[in-house]
Amino acid sequence: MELVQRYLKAIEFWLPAGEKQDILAEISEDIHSQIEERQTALGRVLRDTEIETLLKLRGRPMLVANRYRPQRWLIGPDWFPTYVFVLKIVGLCYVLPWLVIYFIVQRVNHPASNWGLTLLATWSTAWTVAFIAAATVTLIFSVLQLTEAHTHFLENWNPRQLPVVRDAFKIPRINSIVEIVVGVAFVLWWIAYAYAPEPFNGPAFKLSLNPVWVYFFWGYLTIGLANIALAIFNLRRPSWSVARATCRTLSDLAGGALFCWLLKADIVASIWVANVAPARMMEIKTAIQYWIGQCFPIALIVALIVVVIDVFRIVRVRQRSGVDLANGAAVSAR
Amino acid sequence: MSEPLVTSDLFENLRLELRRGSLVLAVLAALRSERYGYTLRKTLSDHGLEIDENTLYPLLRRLESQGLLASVWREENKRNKRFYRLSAQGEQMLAQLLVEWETIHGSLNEILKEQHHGTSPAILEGD
Repeated sequence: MELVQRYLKAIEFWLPAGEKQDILAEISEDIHSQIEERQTALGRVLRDTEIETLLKLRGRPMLVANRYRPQRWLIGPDWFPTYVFVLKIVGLCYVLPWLVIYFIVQRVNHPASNWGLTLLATWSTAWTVAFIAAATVTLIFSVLQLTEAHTHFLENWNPRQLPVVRDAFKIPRINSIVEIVVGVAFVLWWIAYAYAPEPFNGPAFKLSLNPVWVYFFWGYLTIGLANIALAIFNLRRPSWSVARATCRTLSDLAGGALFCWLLKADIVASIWVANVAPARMMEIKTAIQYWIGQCFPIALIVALIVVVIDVFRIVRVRQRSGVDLANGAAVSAR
Repeated sequence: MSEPLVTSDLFENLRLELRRGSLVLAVLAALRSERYGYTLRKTLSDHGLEIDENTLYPLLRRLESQGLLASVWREENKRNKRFYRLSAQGEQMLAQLLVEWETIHGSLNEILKEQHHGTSPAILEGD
């Protein structure tokens, strides 16, 4: 029976303060009734091992005691899916970009340090950033849960306030018009000012570019014209097709690749500013080249993000085309 | 050989969900006569409604705090036992819940009858 006493004592610790003795007396009575019944059936006193089995079946003392407490939760089942969703969004849109930027800043500030150390510094910062973000989200949802329990504000809603359903594949006409106007303006400006290897040639400031510039000139001109053509097509048929989504991806890919190359191409041949010594100008030119080079990782990341979004669009358009085809086949089969 | 339609875990979860509400009804019904916890558990078990002590005792306390049960400590066979029985409010609640239960039972039977008429004999036989 010593085991029973130990079991009851362990349960007592976790029971609600005002009801400890009452609950314990009832549990104790139930255990003794069960033991008594078994002993009567067996015709002998129960062994310690048998009592041990019996108590084990009743469950861990902490869990047994917790059943006597009201059910409570920090974030309940109504809020939990939203909580997890927000955590994922915060992770993807805040923690991850934060770490990428932190890594880049570390590289820029300490270009001589090795990549392993930069990664280690980013990794150790990641825990703090992720912990603070997760704790903040958890705190906000706990407050929402508590407020909801008292005010039931979630029940106060109106179907008319729900967002309007939009066709994700539709291309707003205003977007196409803006693209055409901006594209034409860009192409005109580009032809007028960017063709010359000396885009700025004034009495106080001169900038000359290296011969490699000609590739960028023709490259961006081609992309600009292609985008105008695509926008005209989109204006006429304002819904994404696989072909047009692919064209947009190729255009963005080419633009991104060209821009990344531009940052690495040592494009500035010379800079001249009136009343500034040539040696000083050389320093300025070197500094400009350096900082242009440092922007390369950011440009690369932005280009990759744009291309990934474009590819995702192609996949979705293909999936929808597949569904439309299947529906069409089903209708014609009827 | 075809795979079973439902896994045993899924069945167990759904069975527990189905029984949860019925257990309250069974406890209230069983306590129309005075009983203490252990004998109540035995009575329910004898009628095919197994309930473990960690569910039963907190449930009894909750029903008592809601005014549906009344309890008293009394000595029996040289041991102090807590005897429960239905309170007047509990009697009314039991009557209301039984009407509700009958309605659910009737509705389910109606649905099953409709399904039975609209289903081929092969499906009903489980082929």
